[in-house]
Amino acid sequence: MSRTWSRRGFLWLLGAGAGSLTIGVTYRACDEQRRVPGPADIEDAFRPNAFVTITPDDQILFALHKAEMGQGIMTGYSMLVAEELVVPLEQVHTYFADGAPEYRTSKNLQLTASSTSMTEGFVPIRQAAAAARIMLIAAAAKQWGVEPSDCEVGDGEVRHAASGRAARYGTLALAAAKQGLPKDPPLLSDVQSRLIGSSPTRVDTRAKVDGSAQYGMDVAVPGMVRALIVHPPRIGATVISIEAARARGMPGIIDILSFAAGVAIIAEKYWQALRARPFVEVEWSPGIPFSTSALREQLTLGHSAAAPTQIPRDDGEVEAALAGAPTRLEAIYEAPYLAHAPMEPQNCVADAHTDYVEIWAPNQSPTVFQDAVARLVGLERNDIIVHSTFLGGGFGRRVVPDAALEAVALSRLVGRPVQVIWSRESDIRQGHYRPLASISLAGALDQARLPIALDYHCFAQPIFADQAPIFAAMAPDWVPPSVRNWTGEVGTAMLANGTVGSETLATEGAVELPYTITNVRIGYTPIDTPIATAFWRSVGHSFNAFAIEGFFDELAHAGGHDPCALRLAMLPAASRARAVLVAAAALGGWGDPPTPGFAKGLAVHECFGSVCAQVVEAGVVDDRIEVARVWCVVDCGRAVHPDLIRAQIEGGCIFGMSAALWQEITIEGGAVLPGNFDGYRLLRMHECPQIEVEIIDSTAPPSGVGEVGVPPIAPALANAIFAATGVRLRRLPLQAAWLEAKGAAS
Amino acid sequence: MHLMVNGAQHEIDIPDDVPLLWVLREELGLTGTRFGCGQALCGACTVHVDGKARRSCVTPVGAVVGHAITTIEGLGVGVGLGGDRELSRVQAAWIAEDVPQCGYCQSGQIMAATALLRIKPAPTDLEIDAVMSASLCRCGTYQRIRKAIHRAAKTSGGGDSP
Repeated sequence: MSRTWSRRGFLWLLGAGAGSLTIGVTYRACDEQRRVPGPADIEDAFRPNAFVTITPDDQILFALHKAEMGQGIMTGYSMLVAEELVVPLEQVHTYFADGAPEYRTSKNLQLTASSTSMTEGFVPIRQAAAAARIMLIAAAAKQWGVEPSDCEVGDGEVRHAASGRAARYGTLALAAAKQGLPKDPPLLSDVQSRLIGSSPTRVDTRAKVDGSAQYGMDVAVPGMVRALIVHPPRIGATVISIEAARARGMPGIIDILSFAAGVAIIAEKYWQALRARPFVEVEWSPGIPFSTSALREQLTLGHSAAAPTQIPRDDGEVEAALAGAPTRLEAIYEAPYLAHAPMEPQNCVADAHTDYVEIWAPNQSPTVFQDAVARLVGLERNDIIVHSTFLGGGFGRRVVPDAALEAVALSRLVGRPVQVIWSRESDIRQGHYRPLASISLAGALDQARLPIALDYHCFAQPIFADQAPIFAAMAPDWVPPSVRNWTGEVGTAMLANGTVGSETLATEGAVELPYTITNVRIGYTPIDTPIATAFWRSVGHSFNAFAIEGFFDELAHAGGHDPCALRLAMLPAASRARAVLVAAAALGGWGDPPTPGFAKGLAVHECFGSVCAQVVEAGVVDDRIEVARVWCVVDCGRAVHPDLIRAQIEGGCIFGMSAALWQEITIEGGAVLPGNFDGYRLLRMHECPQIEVEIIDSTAPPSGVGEVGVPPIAPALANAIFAATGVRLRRLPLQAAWLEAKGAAS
Repeated sequence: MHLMVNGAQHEIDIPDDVPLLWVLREELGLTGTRFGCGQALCGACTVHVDGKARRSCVTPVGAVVGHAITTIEGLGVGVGLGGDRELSRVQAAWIAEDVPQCGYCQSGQIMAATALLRIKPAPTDLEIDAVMSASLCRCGTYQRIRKAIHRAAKTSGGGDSP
């Protein structure tokens, strides 16, 4: 196959004309080429950088190097490009970029995480489009013998008003490619915006509404077989034997085998593997008899036994202040392991060859996937081609390359492309959880009944310890795989136990405590369990906001203060949190009489550069927690797409609410108890309160909104329940905690 | 067996007990119907059988032979997935309200909402809740789904299909 991929062929694959575009399902590299042809190979295209391509037939192509998992970065970035090229949004054809070195913009990784995409890309993506604009103008000006400054752009053309000449971008492509790359292209939208700040229909909405959006599970490549994985039923269990005589004879079954991840039922079609599953009996070793209830007990006792091993913040003299204060409070706050449970279970298509591997996966980091696969098979990182699809939810789970490693291993074994599709039970039970946390707090009020001291000690697994694949992937390409293995394993261990640097994730959201309390100590002790952890939407903030905002509320009530008034009194005057809280209190009618039987609670939290406050009206009816309404205010800097921001805050709030109310990964005897949505409950429409979102007007650079809506809901809800009932719930999930409190009282 | 899907007849040779979901996805290449749980708990697999919402992940294909099956790809007018197809009233409302985030549940949501509007052309919030509570959305688009259903109900042209 010629290296110059015809423009028509590529655009056919893009499905030009439709609203949202992905590399076509049937697209594969041919044997002579490692790298998948893309816009870089379109003949005579103008490609000033890795992001923007203008084709000779006037198509504007934009490479999205971030994962689109519903957070809307596909639309956000497309808007930035359309803005600086001065074209309607519909004229930008956005496609998912494969894993490649030029896209490693986050700590040497091509990565979508930590609510950073818009913050990271706001200037560079606009510059990429602006550079193209400048060069197109320069090309036209040269052709016409006029000054570039006398030319304008609009509707995909360069125009010279004085002479009435105009040329479409496509016709200028060849000439533009010869112009000099501008070093610092001026950004039109720094002066005036047309698109930024508006809320156009998202570029992927049409495809998601007509069923054409391609998720990982929808990918099919010629010769592909499917694999259903039977994962271990207990942590650490391994295969002892497989009884599958009858299953092997069933239609379409290719093989049933034991491998690193468990047992694979490989068939031509997934439905054939499903039909064979009941006839596959696996004998497993006992595994590790891990128990979450035993761990909770152990940690509760452990709080009185030892001092923290890491102290990332130590202001004033906490112990002296606590000892000498007239009023002292103590509490233990707990949060469970949580699964991400995206609607699309884990899956991956892999086609392993001796000298390269090609994979299609919903993923949050092509680099992590490239690196993990490269180390598995003994190839170079850039011999691993990673195609990304839409993600049916990510929430941090899809940074983990587990399904990809399974698919690659199986493809090597059977010599054909393999699609691995996880069951929902596998998705919920196969680890990589938000860590369980047990946090002890002690606080004191002074003579004026104001908080004077806060001592916090968190027991939780260091999330860094499970991120070896990420740390290995951060090493440059030239670092040998064995050394990358080392940096991955040993490096993360050293971070996790504080030998070098420290585990920051377990205390994030506590270390940054915004209240002007004189004596504050934030301590952390890592715990070691066989459970794998991962980033779960808002990470450490997801449990630290619960502990901090819940306990601060306790201090407020102990001092006879209104919880909002005390917060405002103890937030620095010019702080963003203060302004957000004031706005939320106003929006939520704080101080207005609530619905009978209900009461309001609130919380404010900052994470990943943005601040969100939530006021919740809730109560308990017949021992059932009911959430009536939620009011949210967010400060995320300049709002690029206000409606999308509102959707993310609503969605984050609902995501957090499901966890706050019901979700818990309980493990007994090494077996994860919940398996499907009956045991791991998600909020449903009839349980969803009315949620109102207001965005603070700001001209600061945009900060992320994917996660900040999650942390405040749990503490705001617990605070509302206290206000309504006098019962303080200190453990998540709250519904279970309520019933335990009732049981203990009776 | 003969399967009638989106108005077209298909001749397929498959055991009766195969869930309709996988027949649609793997035998007919209609991947718009999604796999979320395999236990009829989430609604991502919702299709219409004779106009009524059914969970295809637990519906054996043998049970729907001779019945009219409609998937997300069959809503609206015209064929294909490109811009040539005129979307249904419900789909148009979904776009106007910009409902989807990750979008994975939305095929099932739209199918459930369409079936609801056939029975209740102007549903109340309670009626919407009663039916749509069966369809999970992890991204939390429920408020927008409700708005889109009301919008679709209001743009009704009398007896036309939602």
